[in-house]
Amino acid sequence: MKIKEGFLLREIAGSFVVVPIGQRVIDFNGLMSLNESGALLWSRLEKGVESINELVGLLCGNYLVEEEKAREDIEAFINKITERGLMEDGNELGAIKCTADNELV
Amino acid sequence: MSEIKKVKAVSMMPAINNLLKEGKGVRITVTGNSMYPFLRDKKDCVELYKTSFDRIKAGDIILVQRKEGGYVLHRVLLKLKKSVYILGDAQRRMEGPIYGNQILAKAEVIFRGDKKIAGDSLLIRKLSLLWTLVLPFRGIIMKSYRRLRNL
Repeated sequence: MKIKEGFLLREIAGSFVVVPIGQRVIDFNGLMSLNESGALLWSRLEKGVESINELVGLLCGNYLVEEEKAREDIEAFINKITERGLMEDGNELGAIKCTADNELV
Repeated sequence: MSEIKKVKAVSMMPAINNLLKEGKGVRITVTGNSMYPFLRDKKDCVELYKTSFDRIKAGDIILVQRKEGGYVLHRVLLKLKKSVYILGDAQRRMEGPIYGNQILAKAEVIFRGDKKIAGDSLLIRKLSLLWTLVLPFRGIIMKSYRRLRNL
């Protein structure tokens, strides 16, 4: 699992904001902001992880949180950023689906 | 852990300024009513780009950093050799002199609701010029307009 290239996590006035780079115009109206733990997950996901367990370990290592709760939160987090199209298509299924969609057009 | 929110432009200014310096355009929603009726609070957006003092003309909307540190987005009323004087469309007292190094950007594009308008389109130029000409009557116009709306 890895976050797509072209986004930069910036800390601004105590909050973390995901800024798209490479776009000519940056729209500050729909910016995604992350809290501290979200930013921690993001920076690990920028480098890429093998499985969700890595993230669970990371979160439990840094915060007083139960493993189950951490896993739940991480799944929700990944769902959210996948929905926004910020994750690289990791699995082949996703890639196949994309091709099929393209063929339909 | 993540949320998509309207980030207050003021707290983002250092970042916005950096991006502008890198040559990027930045779109922000306008806050405050000082540019009413041209720009409405939390409704209208502007697209800002880095500019230079030479390229600024009277009638342009520019982003200025005040000497005290605050930021304002106001219209240029008057341009002199080395400075400009600015005035919000809802204001009656101009501010200045503003020097080149205080001018961070120019609003090249205005979004009124969903409508995209070039900042220096003929219509906007004419309307803002007209609005400048009626400067002494702004207060009375706005007051009667509000009264009409509340009828």
